[in-house]
Amino acid sequence: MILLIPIGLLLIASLAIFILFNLRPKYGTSWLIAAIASILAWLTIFYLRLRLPTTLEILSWGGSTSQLWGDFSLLLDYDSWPYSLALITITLAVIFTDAARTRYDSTPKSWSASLAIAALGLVAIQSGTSMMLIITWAIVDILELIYLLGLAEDTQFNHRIVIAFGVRIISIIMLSLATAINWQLVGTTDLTSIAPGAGFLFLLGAGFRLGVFPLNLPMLQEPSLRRGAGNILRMAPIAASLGLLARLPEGIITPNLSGLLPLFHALLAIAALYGAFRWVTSQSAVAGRPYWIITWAALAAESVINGAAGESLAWGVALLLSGSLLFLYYPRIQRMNFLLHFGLIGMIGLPYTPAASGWFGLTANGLTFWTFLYLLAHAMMVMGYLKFTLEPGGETSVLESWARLVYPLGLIIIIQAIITSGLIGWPGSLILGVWWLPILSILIIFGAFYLIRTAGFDTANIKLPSSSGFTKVLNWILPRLEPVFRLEWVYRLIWRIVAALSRILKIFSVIIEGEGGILWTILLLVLLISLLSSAVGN
Amino acid sequence: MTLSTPILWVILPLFISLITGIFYRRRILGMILTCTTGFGLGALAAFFPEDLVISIGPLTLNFVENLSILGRQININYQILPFVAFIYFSTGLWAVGSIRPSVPESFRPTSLVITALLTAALGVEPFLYAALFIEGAILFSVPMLSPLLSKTHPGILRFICLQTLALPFILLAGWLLSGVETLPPDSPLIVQTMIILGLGIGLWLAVFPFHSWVPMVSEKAHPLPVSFVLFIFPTVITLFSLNFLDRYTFLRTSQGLYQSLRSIGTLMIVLGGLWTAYQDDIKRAFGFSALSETGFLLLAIGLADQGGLSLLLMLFPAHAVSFWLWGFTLSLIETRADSRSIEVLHGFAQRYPIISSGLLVAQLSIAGLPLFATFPVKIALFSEAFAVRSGLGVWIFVGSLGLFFFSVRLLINLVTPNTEQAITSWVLTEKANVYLPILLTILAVIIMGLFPNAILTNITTILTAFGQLQ
Repeated sequence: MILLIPIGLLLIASLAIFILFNLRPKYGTSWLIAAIASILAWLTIFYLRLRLPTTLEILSWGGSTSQLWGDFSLLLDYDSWPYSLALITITLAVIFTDAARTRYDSTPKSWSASLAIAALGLVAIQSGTSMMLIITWAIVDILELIYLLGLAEDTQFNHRIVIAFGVRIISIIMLSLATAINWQLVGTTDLTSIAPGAGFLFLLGAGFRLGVFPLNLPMLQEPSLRRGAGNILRMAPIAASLGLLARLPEGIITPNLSGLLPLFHALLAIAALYGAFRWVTSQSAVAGRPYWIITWAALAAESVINGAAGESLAWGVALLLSGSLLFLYYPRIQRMNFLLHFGLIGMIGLPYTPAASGWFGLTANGLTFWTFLYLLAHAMMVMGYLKFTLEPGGETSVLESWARLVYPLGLIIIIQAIITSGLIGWPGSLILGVWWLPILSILIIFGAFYLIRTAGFDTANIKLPSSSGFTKVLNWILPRLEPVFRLEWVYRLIWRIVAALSRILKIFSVIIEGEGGILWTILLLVLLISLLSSAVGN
Repeated sequence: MTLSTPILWVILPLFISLITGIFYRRRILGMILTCTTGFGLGALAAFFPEDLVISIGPLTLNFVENLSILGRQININYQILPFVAFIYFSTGLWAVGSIRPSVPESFRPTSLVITALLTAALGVEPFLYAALFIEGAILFSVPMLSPLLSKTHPGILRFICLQTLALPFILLAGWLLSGVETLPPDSPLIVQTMIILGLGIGLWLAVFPFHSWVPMVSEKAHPLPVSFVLFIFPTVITLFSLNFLDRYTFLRTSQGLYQSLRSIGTLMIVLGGLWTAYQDDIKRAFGFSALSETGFLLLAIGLADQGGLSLLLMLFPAHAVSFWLWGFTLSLIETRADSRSIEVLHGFAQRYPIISSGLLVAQLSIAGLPLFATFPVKIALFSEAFAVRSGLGVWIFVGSLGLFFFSVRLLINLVTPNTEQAITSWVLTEKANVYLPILLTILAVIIMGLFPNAILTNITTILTAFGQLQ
């Protein structure tokens, strides 16, 4: 039952803030409720680290007389605890840092939404069975759809929200397929007993949702909620998908799929490199957030394909924690800029840092051509992070007095979580790792910085002068690349196929529903009888 | 005092429908009478004592399970009562929806007649007389689909034509069945009998290529009666078809039959899904979605050896709430939107968020989205189909994708703001009598999707009525 405490706390606080907001809007009280609930939930997650693994059976559809086989349970183990910690830390950090964004998008309504989404995110991360995960994904997606549509932005934005929802539905269908097949293979829906034969479909489900396998970016333009609730909104579903990746078994690339292995590696490498390139060239951290997610998720998925799903945790935690440190750092305060550098601890992967074990995931099948591509992507990600870290900030005076305390505290909590996950996150999180790969990555970064200096870039922000030829090339090529990787062409292709098919079906409908329809029906009937006689006779 | 169960569940509703028919213009009275009868008889069937004795104070009513009419018998035994309860509850539910003024006045009395006749069809002996009762129910559904004084559309004629064509096939099959039982298993007459029987049931269930009336009627008739017809006929006819499997060993043991049912079911799912995917007319889309659902019913029977019959029965309540929601929300949309084309529904969700949500939930529930009513059954069916043959699983997946594709298209059109209209932000304009039934049904759809073990499995006790199929 203890597993329900953090989830319950967040949900109750969310409901309380929602009611309070509608009855007597009080900013301070709402914030206090959100902060207290988040702190208590955060402390509970730490306490639960001492009691791993903890399981809670919730519901079972099955029975001696029933043909239904859904089991629902929560499971907090070494695979789900790091992501639970990351999500609850982000939630707490959102509430704390929102104190500094009262002039922007920080409202009791957004806190209520943040807490509810975080609670559902925790349920998804801690899902012990794939049925639990399917249902939680469906709930999260529907609530997110309602929430985003409620923001009532422009037509194009609504269109994108629905497309993104459609992509999520496909991921849910994939997961349902995987679950059904897994049930036939092993007779359980436990995520700890995934059969390798069904594993690839689970990977597709998670990969589709992460937007990485295959690469798809339906939601590049984000809603107005970009920092606080917006960050939770993006990170909670991602954390749930990463949690699934960490549970996949070895050998998901079965012999009949092994021929496609180079294609899978290539798809993921393209996603990682494209994402990293777009991240490093993004105008702002929040604008680059979809690419940030894509690249780290690609590294995590590559670890899974290499048969080292446990090592994907390192990249997943880097995505969530180091990313949130950067995305929640708004407004920028010059004197606090140094805090962002601690985010590097979570992503560089130097020995005895949280991401050190991640390199094992990328080299589980030995050093290959793909490893170097991922190394390059990693270097670009770190470089992009450094670029945003080096951006100048404003004065502390832009903050209210109470925000001067809680705003940095929110960022420090994330740094603390990064360090904690490195120390006690999962078995093997505190290791030497493949020590020379991060050093190589750092050397690439130094090399790039050297080139940047010699090429005349603005070193403070690593921005190209607008008059440079390279900028012009980028400005021409990037808008053309984006639709390709947003998979709009795939949607258009699907639409054309459907349209072509629909024309055939429409003609068929017109014939069969027309004046001579009955005659056609009789003709088809005769054909059907002859077919059936042979089928039944055999 | 001794009564018989057919008096309660066949004669009484027929009598009440006669009264409702006489006062057909009095909407509220008709609705109250139909609702009370539907829910009342449903509740009575659900809680009927097993010893068939009801004591009310000093009055003791002893019930017998049969009633003789013209030398024929109608048996409504205790085992079939959960199903009788279900169809009467469903009739009551549809009667609630008929409060909308746009619903044809003939709907209330005829819906009760149809339910009574179909109940009689389930229990008539010799059981081939059921075909006559079903034909009667089909004919009674015409006034609700094509109200008096309105121009008859070709879909109705097609409906009567194809449905009536089933009657000689079923009667011929019945005549042949009485003789083929003693024949050796490799006799060609057995295959011919199975084909004739299959054609009869296929015509009733609007199986491809006999489906053409479904989109035609769905397009022209009022959505609420259409949803009722598309729900109650396939439901009762599939259950009635189990009689054949229960009675005839050669049918029950024929692997070829099950294989054919699985194949035809999958074909229906694929065609229904693909046809739905590209539809622009939401009413036609509903017709094609219903065809896809008929495919799932056939697939479930085809998977009888894998426990498909329990799943078949569990699909019925899930269909009832989803189809009702479709019919109800569509009838509301029809009176509020300029056109039935989804392209013209731009901005509808902003003006009518609850109606739009109802329509989407109904569509997604029919498509089998997790969290909604049909999902628990469909995933189990999919899993079993995949185990039998992976190809079936792939095609079911394709068909389901078609339904989801249409749902996304519908959603895009509903939420795309209409720049020509004054309202571009979200406004709740629906009144309580509109949004309450929708919200309650959405809740029911979700509860069925989350707790199918508590809601759906009760109906599987009906299988005890089919001694050989348990």
